[in-house]
Amino acid sequence: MTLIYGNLLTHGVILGLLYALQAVGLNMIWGVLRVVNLSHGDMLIYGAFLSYYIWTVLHNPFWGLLIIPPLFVCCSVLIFPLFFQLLGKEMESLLLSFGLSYILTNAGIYIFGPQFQSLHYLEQIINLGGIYLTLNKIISAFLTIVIIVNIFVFLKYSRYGVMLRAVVEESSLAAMRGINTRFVLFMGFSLAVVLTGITGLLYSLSYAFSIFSGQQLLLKCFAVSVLGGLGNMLGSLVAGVFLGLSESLLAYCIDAHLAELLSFLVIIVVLLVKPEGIFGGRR
Amino acid sequence: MRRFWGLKQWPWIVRMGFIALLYLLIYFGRPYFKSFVFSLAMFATLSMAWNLVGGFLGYVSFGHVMFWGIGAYVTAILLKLGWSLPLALLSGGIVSMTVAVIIGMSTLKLSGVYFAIGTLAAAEGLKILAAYLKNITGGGGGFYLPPVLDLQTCALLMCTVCAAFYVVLCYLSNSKYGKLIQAIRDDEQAAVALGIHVFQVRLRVFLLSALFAGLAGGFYMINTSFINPATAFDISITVRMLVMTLLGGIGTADGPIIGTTFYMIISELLWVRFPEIHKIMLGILLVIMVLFARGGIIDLARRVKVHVSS
Repeated sequence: MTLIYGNLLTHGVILGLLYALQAVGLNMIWGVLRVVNLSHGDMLIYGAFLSYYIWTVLHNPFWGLLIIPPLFVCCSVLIFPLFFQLLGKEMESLLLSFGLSYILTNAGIYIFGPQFQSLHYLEQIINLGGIYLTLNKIISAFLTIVIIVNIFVFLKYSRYGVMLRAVVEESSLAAMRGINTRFVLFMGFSLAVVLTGITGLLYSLSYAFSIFSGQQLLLKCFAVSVLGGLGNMLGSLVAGVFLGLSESLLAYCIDAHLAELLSFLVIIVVLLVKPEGIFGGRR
Repeated sequence: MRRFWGLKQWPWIVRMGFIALLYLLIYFGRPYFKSFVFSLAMFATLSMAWNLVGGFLGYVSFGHVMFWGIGAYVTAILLKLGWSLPLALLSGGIVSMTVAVIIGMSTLKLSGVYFAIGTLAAAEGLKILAAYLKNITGGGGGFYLPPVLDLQTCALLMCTVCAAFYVVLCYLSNSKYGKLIQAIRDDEQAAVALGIHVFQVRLRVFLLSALFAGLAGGFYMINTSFINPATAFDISITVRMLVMTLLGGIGTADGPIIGTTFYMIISELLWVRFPEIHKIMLGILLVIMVLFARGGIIDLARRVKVHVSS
């Protein structure tokens, strides 16, 4: 009995780490451009499909770690000016990201087809004292932790991270100090977009996905962000793991459908009771 | 310009003429036109409902389709239980309003971002819930209803509801209460300082919007006799509401109707020929409208008028 729960908890934490990584990307875009990127889930699924095609061609999805970043940076070169033009206009930029999401979903149906896909890579099962994990899950969890730590260190200590935070905090003052605000914002945005693509790659390693999964992943991303407080990175890390854990427990103990509904309930209840998230932070 | 009841005359002649044309099409047109007018009136009602929240309150709802879906489901279930038609339709609207109360209570006190998140999440969540409650909604397979009304009566009723909603919107945009709503949208802090109960006004407007969207859903159900979760909470319908409103002119009473008429004619003539990519084109249209033509047709006409008269 304890072993079942041990398995559930481990898988929940691994899933939760992925949710957290995804929410970190969403929060970065929110921090940089003050827009909740509604096309986040679709970007993630595009990353997942890319890794799927890389796997079919090169037989190793990890080539995607080299291929996805330049490709996604190119895409953000195209998208960023649109968002930058609407900087500070909340409603318009929301509408823009919604339109983008709709385009991406329907173009995705056209390009990738509507069916579910899954990778079969490194699927040997490893027994860690009664807890069974596939090798790809272990690797994806490890990579997730590495990426999250790197992002935190980058934002906190590196030169560009400090510049990014300065621009977000007080744009005109940063410009006065000779920082190219537009470039720094673009850097932050493209970093977040690349992060989303990589998250898609990690997601594709251990879960099946279709182009329609984007919307559900976005919903989970919202739940994590709202629970952790929008713009609060550490909060979204904790909230992501919490959501992953509770989903996996709920799916086992009661019903898998209720696990899907959980994120929706979390959003409504948290906004009703404590809208600044359980860890405080900005509204 | 001569005035009649304090109103400019010619725009009202155009409006009455348009409504009369719709009724004439319903009475004397071929079934194709009847069905066209039904869709036109339904989407006009929906985009007016969206405009009430998005345009008048300044809160963008990305899940407005859920009120339509709830209206359709509740009407269908109650009709199957043997309720009378008007009562079932009204209950559809009222249940929509109840859901709107829950979402409004949690998000209308916060900024528009949270409202967007809340509505989008609610629409997705309700889609899952509708598929989950198999005993009540028929699950993913959908819900069938024996035909209740013929197409002509349906279109007639839908058109009347649409016209009634339009009158309400005209009243709202000209009355004192409408000015109050606009004041809140344009400067919330000033409105609070003047002693306006901002949250209450917003919630009322949101409820009105949900009521009419729910009614439109009910009429859709009695016309089509079938609904499933994927249609009832389809994000494409929200996108259509957005595009139609933006096309006509956001935040105006006439905008959604003009936009819907344009959109419906364009889609009948043009987009039915590209069934595979017309949704992509719809998304691109939305992005272009947001980036370059936020005022829509009404704004364009106003600019042309200024240009000509100067």
